[in-house]
Amino acid sequence: MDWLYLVTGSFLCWLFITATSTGGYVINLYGNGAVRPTGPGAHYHK
Amino acid sequence: MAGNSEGPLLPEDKGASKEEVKAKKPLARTFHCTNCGASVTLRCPGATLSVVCDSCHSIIDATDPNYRVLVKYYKATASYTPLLDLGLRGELKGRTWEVIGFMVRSDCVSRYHWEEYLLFNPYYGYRWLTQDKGHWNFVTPIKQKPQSGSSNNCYLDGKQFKLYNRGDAQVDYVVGEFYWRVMINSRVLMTDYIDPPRMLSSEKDDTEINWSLSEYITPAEIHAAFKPTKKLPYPVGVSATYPPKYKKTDDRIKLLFVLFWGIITCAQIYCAGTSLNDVAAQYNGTFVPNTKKADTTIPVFELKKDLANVFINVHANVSNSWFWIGGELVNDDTGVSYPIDTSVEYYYGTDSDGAWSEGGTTATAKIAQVPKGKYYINFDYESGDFKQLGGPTLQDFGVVVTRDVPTYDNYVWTFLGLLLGPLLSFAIMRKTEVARWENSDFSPYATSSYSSSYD
Amino acid sequence: MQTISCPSCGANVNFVSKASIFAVCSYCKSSLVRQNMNLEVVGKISELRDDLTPIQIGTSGMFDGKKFEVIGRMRIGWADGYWNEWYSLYDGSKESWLVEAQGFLALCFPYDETPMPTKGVVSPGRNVHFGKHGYFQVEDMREVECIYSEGELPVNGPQGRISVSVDLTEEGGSDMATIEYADNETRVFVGKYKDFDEFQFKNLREIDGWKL
Repeated sequence: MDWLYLVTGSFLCWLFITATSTGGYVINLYGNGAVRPTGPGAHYHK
Repeated sequence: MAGNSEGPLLPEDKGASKEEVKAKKPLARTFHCTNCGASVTLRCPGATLSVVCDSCHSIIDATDPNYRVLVKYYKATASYTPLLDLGLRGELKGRTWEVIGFMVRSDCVSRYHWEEYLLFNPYYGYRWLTQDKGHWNFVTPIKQKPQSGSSNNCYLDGKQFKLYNRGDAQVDYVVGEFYWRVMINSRVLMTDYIDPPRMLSSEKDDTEINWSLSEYITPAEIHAAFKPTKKLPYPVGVSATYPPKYKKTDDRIKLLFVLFWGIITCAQIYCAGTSLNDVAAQYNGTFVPNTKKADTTIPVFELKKDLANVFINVHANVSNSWFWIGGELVNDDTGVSYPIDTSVEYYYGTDSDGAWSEGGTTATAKIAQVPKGKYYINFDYESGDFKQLGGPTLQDFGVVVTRDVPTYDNYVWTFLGLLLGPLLSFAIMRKTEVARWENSDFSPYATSSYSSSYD
Repeated sequence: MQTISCPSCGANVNFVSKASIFAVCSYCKSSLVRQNMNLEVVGKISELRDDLTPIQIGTSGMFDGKKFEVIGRMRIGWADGYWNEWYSLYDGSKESWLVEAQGFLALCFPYDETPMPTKGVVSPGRNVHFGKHGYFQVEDMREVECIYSEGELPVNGPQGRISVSVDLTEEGGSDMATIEYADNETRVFVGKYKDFDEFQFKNLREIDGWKL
């Protein structure tokens, strides 16, 4: 049981570090992290 | 060999050494039951006081040269078969033991019964094995008297043992031989204290108190030692002395939790401390209440740092009204865009409960993991519910784009996630402990206050 | 060591300890009382029918770093059992007794530093003061009889010698004490229970079918 926690806990720590250091979210509540490549142009302009 | 007299050797002993002459006697002996004539085996002559005839179940005085019968014939209400045959030898904890007696005892009130096996070794004395619902204990009689603590515990060598049960026990059935004059239906007051996997027990009758120390032993160990012909029953539930294996696991999990918490706290402090929290762009504008406008652009600005979040904070002077912004953050070089959709709402009033308010005059759209580079924002906006007070007046709104804002959400969620481990471990530990104390009248987990024994 | 001829059969009777006043001739089993160099026959010891003990005369062991050697025995019987008291010389010449009862072994030594209560006031549960050893509690009190003796003894041990034996233990530890009230004397001992292996016995009696 304790090795299972070691694995999942380590994973959570890794997840936290990579998310927070890149401005990401561990749990994406707002759904704003989604990248939506629409390609250049779309219907907007500068 | 130091003796204290040297008589002449007898003629038949010539040629044999003194040791050989002395050690010739075989240990076990058989005789005929005084009551029924059947053959009775006496495995420990000189040490055994009473022996039971297998055939008629009379209890015989093993020290009497005529083998007088102590109890002529006892009718057992039930017949029990020992799991370990008498005479079986096995090695437990580095010492050899022989099963010489078998006894079934029961609690006088609940009639709950269990098995006891008397083990013998001429050098090390006596031990017992008890069996109860498939759980075994290796019991050592001790001379050391425990120190009494409060009414519900006692101490041995500094370790605390908690009161588990107390009650009268009686002998229901015996077979084999014993080192006292065993009597059917004889009673003792038994008190058990536990410190899993060990148990301290006392047995008190009119003349004396005897203490013993039990330790949990698995059916596998019993089987490996004695290789019984019968299959040993599978252990049911959690017994009083069931080893608290989870405790080590729980301690490790607690330690890991503290370690992990330390890691994420340090990481959080570092990330928050090194965050830029830069205002990358700003836009101030006006809007006509209750109208829409499309296609406003915040011109190209730079976002520093390889990968970070972007907060787009909108504020507007709403008062029981709303202001909405929707658009996209677009990378000038790659064209990759991120949607923005947020509204500022603020409502307030009074009712029967007093004053209330909902919302606020700012709102924030948060975008995660935006790579560095040149960006611009295109957006539409709309407003509504504004009360027209004498003609359309322009209202102000502002948009502030902040790069790499320190956040705490991740920290909270990860902390909760990590907490699951010790919480789960605690729940399992508790479940095992509640089960362990189920058969005790002194359970610290008892919810009801009634006593399960009558006096 | 003194060697005196047995007045009954002529065999040599050895006395290892000067304190021994009683012995059993190992050849003819006469019980003998010693006065200086004279031995007087006072009876005969009948053989033990069953004897299940790994200890014998000549067995030696260790206690508190010093060696003791068994030179005599009294087998004591009471209403519900027996035990053996092995007379041993500790650290060369000191009197000590190895008590063997139901698998329990203790070595104890004569004690006379504080006075003992009289037989009439002793009962189970009563506390008795043993000087620097502290308080001991009376466990039981039994009328006992010496049913067999062998070797040499510092006390008269003929078969049939009746006395009252009181066992005491110290709370919390494994210290023990014994008070024996006999017709003409009261003997007091203090000692300690130890595990068989701790005694590191040598020269044990062989028991058929059992190896150590």
